[in-house]
Amino acid sequence: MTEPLLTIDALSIGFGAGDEPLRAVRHVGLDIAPGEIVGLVGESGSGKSLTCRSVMRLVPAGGRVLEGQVRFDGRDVLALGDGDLRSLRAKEIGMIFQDPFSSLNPVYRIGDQLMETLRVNRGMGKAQAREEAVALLERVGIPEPRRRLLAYPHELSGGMRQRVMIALATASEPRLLIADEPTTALDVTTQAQILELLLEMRERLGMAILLVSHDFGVIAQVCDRVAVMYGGHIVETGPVETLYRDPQHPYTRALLESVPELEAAARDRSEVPRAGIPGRPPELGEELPGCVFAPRCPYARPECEAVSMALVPVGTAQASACPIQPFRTTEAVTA
Amino acid sequence: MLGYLLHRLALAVVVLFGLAVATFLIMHLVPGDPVQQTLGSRATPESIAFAREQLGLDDSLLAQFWAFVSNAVTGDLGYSLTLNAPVAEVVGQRVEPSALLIGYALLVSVVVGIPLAVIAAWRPNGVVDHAIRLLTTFAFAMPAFWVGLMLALVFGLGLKWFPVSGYETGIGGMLRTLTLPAITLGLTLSTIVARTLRSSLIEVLKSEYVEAATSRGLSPRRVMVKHAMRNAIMPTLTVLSVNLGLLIGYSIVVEAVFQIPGLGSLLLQSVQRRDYEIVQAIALIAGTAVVAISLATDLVQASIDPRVRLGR
Amino acid sequence: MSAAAVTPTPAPARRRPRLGRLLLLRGQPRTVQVGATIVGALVLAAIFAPLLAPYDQNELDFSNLLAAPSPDHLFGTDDSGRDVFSRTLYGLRIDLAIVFFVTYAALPIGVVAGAVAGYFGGWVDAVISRIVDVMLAFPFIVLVIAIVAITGPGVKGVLIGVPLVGWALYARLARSEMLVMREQPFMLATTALGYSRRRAILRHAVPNLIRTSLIYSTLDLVVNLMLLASVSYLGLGAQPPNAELGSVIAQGQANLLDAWWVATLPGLVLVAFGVGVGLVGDGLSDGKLLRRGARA
Repeated sequence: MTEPLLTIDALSIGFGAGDEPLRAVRHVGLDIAPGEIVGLVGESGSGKSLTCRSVMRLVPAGGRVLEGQVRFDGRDVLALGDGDLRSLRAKEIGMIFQDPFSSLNPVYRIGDQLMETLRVNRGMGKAQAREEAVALLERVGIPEPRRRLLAYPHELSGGMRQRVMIALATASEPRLLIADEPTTALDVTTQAQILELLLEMRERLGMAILLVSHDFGVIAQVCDRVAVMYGGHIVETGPVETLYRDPQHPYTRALLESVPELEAAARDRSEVPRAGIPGRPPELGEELPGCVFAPRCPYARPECEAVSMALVPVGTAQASACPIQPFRTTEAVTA
Repeated sequence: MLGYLLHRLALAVVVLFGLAVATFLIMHLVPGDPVQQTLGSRATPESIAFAREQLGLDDSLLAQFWAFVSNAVTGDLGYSLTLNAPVAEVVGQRVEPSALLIGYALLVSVVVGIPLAVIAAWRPNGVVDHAIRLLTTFAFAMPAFWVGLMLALVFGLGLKWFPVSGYETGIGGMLRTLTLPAITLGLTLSTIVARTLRSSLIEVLKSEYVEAATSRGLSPRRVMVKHAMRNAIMPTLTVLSVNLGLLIGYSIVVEAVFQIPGLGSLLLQSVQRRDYEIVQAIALIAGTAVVAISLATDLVQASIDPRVRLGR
Repeated sequence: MSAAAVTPTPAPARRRPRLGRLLLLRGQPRTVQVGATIVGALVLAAIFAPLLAPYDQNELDFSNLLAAPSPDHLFGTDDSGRDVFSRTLYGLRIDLAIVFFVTYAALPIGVVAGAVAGYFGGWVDAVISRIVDVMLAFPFIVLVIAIVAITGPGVKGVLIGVPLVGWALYARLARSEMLVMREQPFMLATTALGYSRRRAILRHAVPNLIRTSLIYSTLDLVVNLMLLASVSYLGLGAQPPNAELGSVIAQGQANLLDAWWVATLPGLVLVAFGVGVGLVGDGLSDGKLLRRGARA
């Protein structure tokens, strides 16, 4: 088995100074192999955005890593010096954000912004950068790329801006792309196009992608593997199809059931589809005993209050944090 | 861009017209007979009548206004009774020191204000930031004339580095005689620049495109200077142009402190001599200067930020 | 298609600074406390000037010309033997009185004018806005000087001149806020409820608009005080023998090197006032930002 490109190991992130920080990400572990597309799914506040930002050390002010490691290509990201960190960001990891409008500088033309990263990060001369910028825009599917170089961000549609964002982030052909809710601000049709583009880029550049989203449908379209986050913990991991067909954690199951299109899958399992999960996710810093999903879990038992949130392997490829495994007995597990 | 330009120009013309009306009223709101007051009690009725005819004071108000405006546009600003010379000539001699002083002060405020803002915004709420904010609070509270006197006391009379009065032409002379006044004048403005730029920078540094730029591995210096600054400088430019009136106004005071023969001191002397023609002319010039610079600032902003051309 | 529905947690109640709590200074950040103390002390000193001043402001003492500061004469004496400390106190009295008057006379006029302009729009707005533009195009001082040229030197010129231009600033502030506020539900409700426009503007909109203007007025106080001091420095303010801070400092200019105290110390009083107000303004706006952040 190849050495993973990215390893997140027992990562915890908290807010606030002093001894009692409010924990937002708890003991999270994740691996991404080269060229693999891994999804990180969960509702707002689950800690998924923070986790993905920590890979590049872009945790917002006030937050800090409390423990754990992030290793990229064998190197300890959290211990890198400023110069090495910038080099990492410039050449090896790229990131695209949720709102394509606010991630492009409104006062510069997109051509200038593209050329800047090409000149600074890839050392190109002005003319060469311009040609490369045109090529990049073409590759992300922007029509009339030469003319578009002169456009300002507000002159482009949401979908086009996101494509420009992707071009910018992948300009130095990084080995890993972090996509933080890249389609949330787009309409469904554009969404599909952008996801298509991401798949294309993985094919062409051999780039791994960490895709963060609250939308299971998005995850299903592109990811190879998925990790489900809740209350700062990862509660389940597994290959995308297996997870969909056979979720092992009650939260994952509830999540899938709240997706209208996937109700059919629930009906196949002869269960009554629910409209939503009653209750609310834990607040930032709220410390719950045992399993954090127990208060809302329909399968909860008294012993759940003493459980740790460690992932337990289920079958050959899945892992779940629910030790009760209420579904194991009723389903046959297929690898 | 052209549409925007024309729109701003039209607005400017309207405001200038209003200015003209206002300054015109100054002359005509004076109680009593301004001519008599100027010429004094020893003037004979004939000379008064002659002067009145010269100034066209016996015509209707509207005719006088029309004459005032049409003359002003061609450069004829009237005739000064106390100095016995055309106003335009008198004023013309005094423009150079004032303009240079104001320009020099603007330079000082920018050279001092911008770096302070950047340093403060680098680590918001840090020790340096608080120190700079305290410094600006103190500097803003100091009246221009007092600062001038203190600078004159320490650097002029005490250390004898600069003269404390007068004006000399030429680069060297200008630097010698205008440095203390320019620092005095520029000090207040530099605190305004530092403050507004600092808060814009802090706002801008929180935005997502700055985060995106950092995520591409660009250095913090580049992010601050190229990406953040261009966006943050906009509100600062607005504030600067709004405060230009302040600068022009206080140049009068500074000219008085340092005895600089500019428009400001001319204004003061004219007020004391009751030379309303000159007062009126200077008021008009000052107002026009503000409008013109405000227009120029708008144009600069429109060229920096493309979104400006769409709105308004 | 997103994650399951969640019962929303109630948003924290928004707290606006109440005037009473403000006056008590309790719970305000340090800068506000220090600043308010300074301002308070100066205002009290000004009010009680006749009691606090050891000498009459015009008491001449030819044996004691240009004396350095001493326990007898805290700020020294000027070239006519007058006690500078007493003159400073009396000057502060006049200046503060004028400044508070002109600032808070201009404020309501400006706010109402701006509110009207923003509310009605159309030609009303166009006219008011152009007048405001013209007023603001004039450098303050130039206008005041010009008015003094008409009225003659003295306090009258300033009392007329400053509010004449001062209202324009508040009008502009209030107008831009009103443009946003008039689309708010509570303003639309006044129309739906059939309230007269006058009521809508004066009773509903203005109380909200006035907050920003009040915050700005702290800045304006300092600016107007500087303006007043500058005008009196130029000799166009209160005439001798009345003392105003600016004129006292002006008198010190002739003997700047030998008797620096005449020009310097009254100036420090001016600076102290400005710093005090500035600290209060800084502290208050900091507090507001923090509150807004917690709410978001």
